[in-house]
Amino acid sequence: MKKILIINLARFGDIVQTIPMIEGINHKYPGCEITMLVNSGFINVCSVIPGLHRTVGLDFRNIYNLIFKEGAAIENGYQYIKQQFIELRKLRFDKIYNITPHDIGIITTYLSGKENEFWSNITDWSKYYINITKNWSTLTLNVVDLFKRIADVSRVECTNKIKIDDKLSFYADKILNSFSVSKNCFLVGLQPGASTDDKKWPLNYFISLADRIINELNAKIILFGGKGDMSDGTAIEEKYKADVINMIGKTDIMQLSALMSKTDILITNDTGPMHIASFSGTKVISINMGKELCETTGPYGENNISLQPKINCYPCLKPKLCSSKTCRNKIKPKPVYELIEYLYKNVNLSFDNYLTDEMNIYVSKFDKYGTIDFLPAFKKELDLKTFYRKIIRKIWDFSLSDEFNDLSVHTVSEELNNIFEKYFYINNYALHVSDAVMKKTQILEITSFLKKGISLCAKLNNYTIDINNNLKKITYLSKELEAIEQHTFKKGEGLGELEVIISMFKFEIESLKGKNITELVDEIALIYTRLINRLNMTLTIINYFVELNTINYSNKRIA
Amino acid sequence: MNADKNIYLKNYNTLLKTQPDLAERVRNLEVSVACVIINSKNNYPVLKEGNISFHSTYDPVKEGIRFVEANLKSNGSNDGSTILFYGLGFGYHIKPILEKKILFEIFEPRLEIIKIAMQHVDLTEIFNRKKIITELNYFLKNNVRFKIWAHQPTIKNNINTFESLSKIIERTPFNSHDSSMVLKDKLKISVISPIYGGSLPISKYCVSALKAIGHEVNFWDSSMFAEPFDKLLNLNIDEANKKVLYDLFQHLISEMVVASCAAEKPDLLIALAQAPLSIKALERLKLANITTAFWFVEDYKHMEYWKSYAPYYDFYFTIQKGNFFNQLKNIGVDNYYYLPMAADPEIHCKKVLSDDEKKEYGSSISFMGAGYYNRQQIFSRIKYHDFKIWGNSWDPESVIWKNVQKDGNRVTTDETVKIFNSSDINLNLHSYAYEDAINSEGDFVNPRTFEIASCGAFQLVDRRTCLKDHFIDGEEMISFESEEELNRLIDYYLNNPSEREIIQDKARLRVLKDHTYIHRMKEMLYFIKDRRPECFLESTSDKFTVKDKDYFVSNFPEVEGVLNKAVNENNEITIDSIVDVVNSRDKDLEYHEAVFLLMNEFKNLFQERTQ
Repeated sequence: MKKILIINLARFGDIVQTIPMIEGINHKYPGCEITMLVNSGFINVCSVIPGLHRTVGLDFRNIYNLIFKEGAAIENGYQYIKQQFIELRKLRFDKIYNITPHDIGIITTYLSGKENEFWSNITDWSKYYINITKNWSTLTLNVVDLFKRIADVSRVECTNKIKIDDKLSFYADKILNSFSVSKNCFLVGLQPGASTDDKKWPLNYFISLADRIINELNAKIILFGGKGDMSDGTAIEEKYKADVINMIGKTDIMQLSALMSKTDILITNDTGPMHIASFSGTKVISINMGKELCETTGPYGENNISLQPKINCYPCLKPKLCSSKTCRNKIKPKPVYELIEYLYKNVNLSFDNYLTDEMNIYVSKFDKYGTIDFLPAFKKELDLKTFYRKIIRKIWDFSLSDEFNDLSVHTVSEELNNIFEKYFYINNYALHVSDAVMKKTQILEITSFLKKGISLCAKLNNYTIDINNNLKKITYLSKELEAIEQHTFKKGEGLGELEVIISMFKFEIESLKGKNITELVDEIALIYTRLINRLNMTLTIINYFVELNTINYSNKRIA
Repeated sequence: MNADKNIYLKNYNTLLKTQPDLAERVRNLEVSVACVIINSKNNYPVLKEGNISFHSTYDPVKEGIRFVEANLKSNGSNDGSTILFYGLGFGYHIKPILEKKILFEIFEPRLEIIKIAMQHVDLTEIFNRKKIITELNYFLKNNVRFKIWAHQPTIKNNINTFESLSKIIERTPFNSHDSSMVLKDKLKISVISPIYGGSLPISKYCVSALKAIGHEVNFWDSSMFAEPFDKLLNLNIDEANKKVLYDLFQHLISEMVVASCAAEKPDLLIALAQAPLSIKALERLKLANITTAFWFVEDYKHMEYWKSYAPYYDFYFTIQKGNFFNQLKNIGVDNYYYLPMAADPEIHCKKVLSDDEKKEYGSSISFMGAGYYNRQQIFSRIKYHDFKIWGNSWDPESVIWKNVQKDGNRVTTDETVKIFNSSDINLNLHSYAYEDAINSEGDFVNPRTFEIASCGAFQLVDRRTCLKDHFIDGEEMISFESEEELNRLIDYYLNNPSEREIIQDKARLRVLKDHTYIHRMKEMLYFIKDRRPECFLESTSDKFTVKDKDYFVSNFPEVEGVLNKAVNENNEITIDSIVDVVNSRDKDLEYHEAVFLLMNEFKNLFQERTQ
């Protein structure tokens, strides 16, 4: 029986988002035992996760007190942390998957493992994840799919939902009955709170929306949220007493999940309860503002809707420093209402300027490999950023997963092009071509350095047979390699959205793990080769697109 | 409407029981607020300050009830937070909540308002139920979630404090992380001196005092520009052109100060009167989040530039109060504070002089200072021959020119101390530019008063309205308010050296006890930190160190090597010094090293969340 540890020291939402990953692991290793290490403040959340066998809490509050409270001493912190990991190590895990961002995740992985090697449990996808957390905006996958990839189960079909037992279901029914909510009643959930202000859709918009839902759809409203959101709830409840069930601050995670599973649609900011809803089978309309993109943190599941403001500064780079928060006012209640109507009555959503004037509407779709994407509800301009992000998504699958080895670059290019044609249009074709040509030149330049680097590695390998006599030559070649890397980093800065490929290369170089010079040189050569492959794949896809569209473009002109 | 002594006593006695410290501070407070008490239509006293009425002039009681009801509806405490009344006023808006079972606190930023309210309305019910919070520090120490119910007239009169309070409360959203922030003990302070003039040495005294109380001080000594500045002023060019050059010169120095601050990132910048800081520079310092304070050690009636500059400083310290405060308030400055002059006992000290020095600097009577009009006139009528006058700007044509020493050149601080120490009587006459008179209404005490006293020397000083606040007249200081009285006192004390000695010793002790620059700087920083504590916070994690190395090593021997290498220059082992050691290792990471790294990552994570 395999013993597996998932290190998940992030927040509420991240825990819920492991449901498919855990399902995949159980599928891949039947009979395995899965333990999840979480911040003990979220230990209750784990009780709704199916397929999880054990939860271990790391007491953040205690660690905080040991570091910050009066009389804090390093020796006390050391004692606590060491003891926690001694206990955890006793479980002797066969595999460890880290899905905790930043260095906390890497160090925790090391401390939890049985081998005394720093990188032993860090897979390529884990490295990708660690690298991406330094620049979150370059993530192009939904976090749920990323977690699945880290566990190497990306193509396992996952259908698990949050666990709701009969007792909880009964609790939810009882609450709803007490508010005279019949089974046929259309129940709309609103989640007006969020962890930070930049993620909060204005309260008065929620109120206007509630007004139309109640009066025009004859529906009931159920409010969700934590204790900190209570004043928002009161403002809505006081206005529409008879039709509002205010559960803000009144539920624990299990009760929230049970009530959510009875809700038809949830209108929400980007929050933990949004993920609860999407894993409860509830349709979600999420309103994304601030720094989050639906592409990465949107509600997982087919046909959920995500709204994003049309504003140049979105996604926000520094939401805490923004004083205007203009993005919050871009998405108006009227189109949100139309979308609810569309989902509820199954009416056609007709394109109307007012709908897309100030916001972009995305609908979630799974591709044939089980990866989710948020695609425009109405054809929209294919900007360069989206174009390259869609390509990069595929590059990582190719270069980091064995699971996609059966596909050819050509197939992927075709599939991508189908997406571009179906969901996007190109206004300024010349711009795309010129940018693609520019990128192509830069990529070719980088690959030529790298090829030179690989031949230097081969020379180095020869010299390492007799290190003492070749010390000068080895030093010289090492410096040459360093110069090639520096040059590559520098060139990478000009690649825009593709720069993330180079930053991953940089991260791989910085985390070399070879024990001796021969191993190190082999590894360097491997990393160079990997980058060349990634860049070549990128070039192939870009070329495919350019050639195909050049033909289309010429045909159009002839016509 | 006059104060009601009975009501005041009733309030005072209650406050004495519930908050004795506050009662004492209120009792000693001199109210200088320009306000009137009017009767509302239904006969309740209402405070009016300038154009701002603190309560309804029609029915303040009803207004108070409405205030509570409206706030309960829109800003209630149903989420478990505590209501915080911002502003005590006359308490009409607080009394209705006394009947309700609601958690609340009261904050009043101005002690003067508490005193005036105590003189006119019965506050015993409020005092018995709640302590009045008067310091912003309270909110840093108490991790409570507050909802502010703001009394608008109080905000209007003190918007800066309100903003500070809001920031602190925002920063502490009932979140355990926040208790990690404490007020810094040691600040990084930049002191900006003027190019020259009387406040130049004062800036140096401030620097010494700030260093003595443990702060890190960066002294920007603008006197380094004195020479080129003089050259500029003496250029034989058109005055308009000179003005342009003067502005450019000041701009250059200002920019240098701003650049220096950008590099140093001080917690606080203190500028002394005439410091060459332009308004643009002050605006940029504000943008850089650097708190600025100005100590205006000048007579506001003579130097009027304060009107343009005062609004640009975060804090304004003055040597006058009363009407000056009203004028500051009129131009929107509300973080002002009375901070009188002082002495530096390290400089202004008792000195044993050689016979030659006694001969050179000694005399029966002396005066050290510039030749202002009233001094020229009054001193010319003093009949004593052994009268030496030191300092510049004396009229060579006047009858007293024969008394003027060193051809009327400036004297150094060292010489000044020798003069004070070797004169039987040091005359100290405050300047009066246009009148041949002693200005007994003068409302500030000059530095010379404190400096002579600090030297343990004897002085006769013209009486000032606030002199009694600093010295006991007749015991620690002898003052005069007319020429006749001056002459009589000179006669008397020249003939009674033993009495002089008793008085001068007492004066020196009083300075050492209450009037050094260390006292002033402490007071200044106390006021600033209290008004704007959020600018001087540091994380307690900065003090996260190994407290007992022996215990640590005996229980966890594996850490000994790292700890031995991690002792820093302060003989401490901090998490940063440990991480430095771990990161500079030349072998694979060991388990215990990873524990330290993880601890450090947690520290960074928590700090990031609190910022």
